[in-house]
Amino acid sequence: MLIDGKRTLSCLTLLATLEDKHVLTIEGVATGDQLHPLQQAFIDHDALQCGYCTPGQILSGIACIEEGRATDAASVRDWMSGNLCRCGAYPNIVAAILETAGKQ
Amino acid sequence: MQPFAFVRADDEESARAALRQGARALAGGTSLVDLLRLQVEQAPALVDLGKLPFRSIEQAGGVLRIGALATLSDIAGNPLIQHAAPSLAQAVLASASPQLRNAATIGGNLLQRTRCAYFRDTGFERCNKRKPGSGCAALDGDDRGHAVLGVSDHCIAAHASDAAVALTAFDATVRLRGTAGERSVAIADLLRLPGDTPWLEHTLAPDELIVAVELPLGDVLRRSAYRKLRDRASYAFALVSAAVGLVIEDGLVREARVALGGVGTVPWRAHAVEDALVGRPATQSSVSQAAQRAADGAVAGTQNGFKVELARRTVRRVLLQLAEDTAWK
Repeated sequence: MLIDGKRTLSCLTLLATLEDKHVLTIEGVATGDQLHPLQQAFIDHDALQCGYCTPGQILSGIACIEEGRATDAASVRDWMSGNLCRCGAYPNIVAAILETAGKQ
Repeated sequence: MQPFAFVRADDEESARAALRQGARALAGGTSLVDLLRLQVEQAPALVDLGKLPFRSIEQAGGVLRIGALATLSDIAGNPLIQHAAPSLAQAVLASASPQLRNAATIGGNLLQRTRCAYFRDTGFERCNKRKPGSGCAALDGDDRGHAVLGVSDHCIAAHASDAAVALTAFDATVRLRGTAGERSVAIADLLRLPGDTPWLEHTLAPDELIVAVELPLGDVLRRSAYRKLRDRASYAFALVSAAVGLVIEDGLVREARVALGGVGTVPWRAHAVEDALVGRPATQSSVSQAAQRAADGAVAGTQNGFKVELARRTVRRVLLQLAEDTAWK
C-alpha cells in the first residue's frame, strides 16, 4: 500500500499508527470502472498467474514509476525486488511497468 | 500475534513514562512487528514514537546529525549524505527493499534483532537470545550465514545492519536521552558482544531513547564506499559487507577506515587493516597485504569459513577501488 504516497508493507504496519495519513490500497487505484493504466497493463501483459502478489506488485509498480525508477528493465527489477512472485511472472510484470512508465 | 496495548507518545516524556511501565518502543516496526507476529517477541504494550520530532537530517559544524526517526529512504536520498558520506548512503540503499526502507528508521535499524533462523523460529528449542540459558542451535546446526568475529560459545548470530557498518567505520556516536539526562555513546558501546549473555544486546537504560546519530564529517568519510556481497543482487542480507574510507596524499595513505558487516555479532571495525595502511604507500601490494588482516581473530564454524577469505577480498577490492578513484585527485 501507499502511505502518503510512499510504498510500505501493510503486513508490518499497525493501523493505529496511521492516524491522519493518506492510505492507498489496490481498492482505491481505479477510477470508477476505469482501471488504472498499470492495472490494464498487467492484464495486457498477462503479468499474473495466481494473483496473490498482484495488489502489492501494482501498488509498488505505481510507486516505482512515480519515483522515476522505471527507466529500464534492470532498474525495475532492482526497485521492485521487495515484491516476490512465486508464480514467476516477473518478465511480464517488468514489461507492464515499463510500458506504463513509457506512456507517462 | 498476542494482544497488546497501544500508546501513542505525544512527547518524549510520555514515551519514557510508557517505557518505564514496560512498553516496547515502536518506530518503523519493520523488525518489532515482524517478530511480534512470529511470537519471537512478546510485548504487553507498544509505545509509538512516530510523532516525536526526531526526523531531521542536518549539518552542525563538522558533524552530520541524523534524527533517530529518519528513515533509510530519507538517508539514502539525502544530497548532503550522498556527497559527504557516500558509504552510508550506499549502505542504506543496499538494505532491504524500497517498502522497508520507507518505514525503517536509523534508530531502529541499529537495535534490530538478528536474522538467525534459530532465533526467528520458535520451533527450535535452543536459542540463548530468545530463551536465556537454552543453548545455541546454530553452533551444531546450519551456520553458513552466521558470524565469525565476536562470537562466543553461547551465540554466533550475525548483526544484520548495513547502516551500522558504515557508522562504525566512521566513528559515529549515538545520542541518548533518558530521565538521567543526555549522553553520547559510540556504536561499539551501544551494541554488546554476546559473551555469555547474548540476550542482552544493547546498553540503553530502560527509559532511554535514541534521539540522533552523529557522524563526524571529513575527508575520509567523503572518500568512502560500501560494498555488500550477498546470495542475490538485491533484497538480501550480507554474507560480507565492507565500509571503507581512504585518503591518499603524495602516494601515502593519510587516513583509512574499515568496518565489516555480515561477519560479526556486532558491526566489526577492522583496526588491524587501518593500522597496516596508514603512513604507507598506497600500492596494490601494500593494500593487498593490509586487507589480509580484515578478519583477524575470526573463529569459523562448519559452513561459514568462506567468510574469512571473502572478508579479506571484499576489503581489498573496495580499498583498490577507492585508491584508484582518489589517488590522482
